[in-house]
Amino acid sequence: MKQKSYITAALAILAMLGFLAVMAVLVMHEIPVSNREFFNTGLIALVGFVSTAFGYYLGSSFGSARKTELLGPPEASALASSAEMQAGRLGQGGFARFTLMLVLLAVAFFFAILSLNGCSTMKKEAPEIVAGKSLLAMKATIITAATTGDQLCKKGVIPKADCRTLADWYLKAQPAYDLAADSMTLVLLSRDKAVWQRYQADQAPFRRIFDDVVVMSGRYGLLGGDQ
Amino acid sequence: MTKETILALAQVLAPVVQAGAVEVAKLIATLNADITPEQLAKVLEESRSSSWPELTFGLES
Repeated sequence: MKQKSYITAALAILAMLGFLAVMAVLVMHEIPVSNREFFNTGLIALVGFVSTAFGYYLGSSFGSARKTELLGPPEASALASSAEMQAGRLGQGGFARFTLMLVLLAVAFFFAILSLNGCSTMKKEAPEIVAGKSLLAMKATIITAATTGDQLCKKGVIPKADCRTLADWYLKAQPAYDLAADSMTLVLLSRDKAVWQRYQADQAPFRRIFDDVVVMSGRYGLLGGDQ
Repeated sequence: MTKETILALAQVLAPVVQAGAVEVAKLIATLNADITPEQLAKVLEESRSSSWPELTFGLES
């Protein structure tokens, strides 16, 4: 009960801090009209977290849990044979990996708050600029996920076979990203007439996209060595 | 999950989370920046896979 109450308290504090962080951002920035609907949905979810936490401490749940605790432990003989009891896992609310869940939840919550704050301050821009920036966001996601996988593989948390799959995905993601970035660059530059005329004079961007396709096809096994 | 496992996991994830937070902060700054198409094209060029970290996924051997 003691460990579980720490976890509950940690979650409640996290929700409260997140709520305060969003409120602080709202004081400093105005939410663009195009993002308001999405922002409101996220804020409602966050308010839900905070309400649940308050409900637990100020409502009947905490008192009820405390009363159950005071009544004493259940019949030890009935549970002594349970594997979970022997492993000391019942204190984790029945979840064998409750602590891991808590860590993952905290990390996800942290990034959700950051994203929500980023979304609240995003400006309305031309579609090709939004697409280019989204591509950069995708790159950040790929590298963060791959770095996490790399660290977990090095510590032996992930099986070797899965690590090989991860390495293969990372290798294949690179030419795919290069192709998308080079295509996006061409789109961005073609919007500016003066710049576009410069690029028309030399064919380097087109050649590079062709090279990207060749490299990607090779890594995906679509081309042989002599093709 | 033992205390040792939790500590080991925290040691593995702490630098990753820290680096991730820095990346997200940079990304938000880029998303909010007033940027011209030519500047964005330059950033995209710099973000090509040649600038990505070399990861081995524990498969060095």
